[in-house]
Amino acid sequence: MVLKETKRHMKKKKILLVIAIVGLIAAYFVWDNFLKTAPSMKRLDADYQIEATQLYSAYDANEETANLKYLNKIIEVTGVVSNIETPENSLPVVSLKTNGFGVVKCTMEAPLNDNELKLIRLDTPITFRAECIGSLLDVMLIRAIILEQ
Amino acid sequence: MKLSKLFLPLTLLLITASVHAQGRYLTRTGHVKFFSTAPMEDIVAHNNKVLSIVDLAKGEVAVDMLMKSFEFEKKLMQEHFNENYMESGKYPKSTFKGKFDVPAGLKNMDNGTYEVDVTGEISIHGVKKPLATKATLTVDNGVLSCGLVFNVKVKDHDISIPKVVVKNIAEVVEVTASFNFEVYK
Repeated sequence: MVLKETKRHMKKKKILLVIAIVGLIAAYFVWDNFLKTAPSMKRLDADYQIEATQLYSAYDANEETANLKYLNKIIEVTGVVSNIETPENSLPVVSLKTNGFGVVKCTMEAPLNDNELKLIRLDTPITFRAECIGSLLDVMLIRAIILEQ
Repeated sequence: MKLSKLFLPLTLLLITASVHAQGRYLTRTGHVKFFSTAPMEDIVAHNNKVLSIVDLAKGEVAVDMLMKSFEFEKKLMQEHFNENYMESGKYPKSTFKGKFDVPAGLKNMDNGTYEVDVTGEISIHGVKKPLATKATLTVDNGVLSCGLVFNVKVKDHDISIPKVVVKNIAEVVEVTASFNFEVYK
C-alpha cells in the first residue's frame, strides 16, 4: 500500500517536471521570437569603418551598388559635424559633412545626455557606430552611438 | 554670328531656366505619420526625415521615405514592423509619384490655400498601386507647405499580418503627411 503511494507520488513528480521543462522551452521560444529586442549598438561589431565623405560618395555614384555593400550593415563613420537637431518627441539627429549636396544623417540610438552633447560640436570631427538604412538625398544611419576617440 | 543676335535668345533661356528653377521646391524633413487602430491597441509611428520634391511648373510631386526611419513608442513594435511586416531589409524605401493640375494662383505663389487632386502611384513593400488623393497646398509669403491624408490597405501591398497579432494591427492604415518646402536651388 505504502509502496503503491510512493510510486504514484514519483509518477506525479515526473509529470510535473516534464510540464515544467516544456513550459520553460515554450517560454524561451516566445521570448526569443516575439519579445526579445535587438542588442544595443554597444554590443555589435562594425562591418565597415569609413569616412562620411567616402560613404556619401559611394551612394552618390551608384545607390544600388552602395546598398549592396552598406545597407543594413553596421558602420563606424567618421566625419565633421555640420548640424545637430534635437526635435521634440523624437531622437536627436547629427549631420556629418560631405563633399556633395547631401549629408550623412545619423539618428542617435537614444536621447543624448549632457556628457554626450558636449562631445558633439559643430565643425568638429566625431565617430559614430550606427546602422546604415540607405539613402534619399542624404545617407541615413540610425541607432547611432558615439565612439570616444 | 554677332553677339547682339545671341543676346535675346540667351536672355530668354536664362529667364526660362530661372522660372523653371523657381517652380521646384524641396524638403528633406517632411513628416509622415501612420495610424493603425485595432481592438487590442492603437499604433502610431512617425517619420520626420521624408524627402519630397514638388514642381509647380509641371504639376508633379515625388515623395521618398526610408521605412526604418519610422519611430514607434515601443522599440519591440518598431522591430516587428521592420523585420516581420515591412521586411525593410529587402524593401528599404516607400515612394509616391503623382501629378496634379496647378491653379494659376499657386503657380504664381500667391498667398492662399489651394486644394488639388493628386493622382499617381505609391510603392510600399515592393508593390506599386495607383493612388488618388486630395492635397492642400498653402502659400504664405513665399513659403510653400503641403498636407495630405490617405488610407493604405495593408493587404494591397502584400503585407501579411500573422493571425496571432491580427487584433493588434488594422487592415487599413491612415497615413498623414505634411511638408514645409524650401526653394530647390
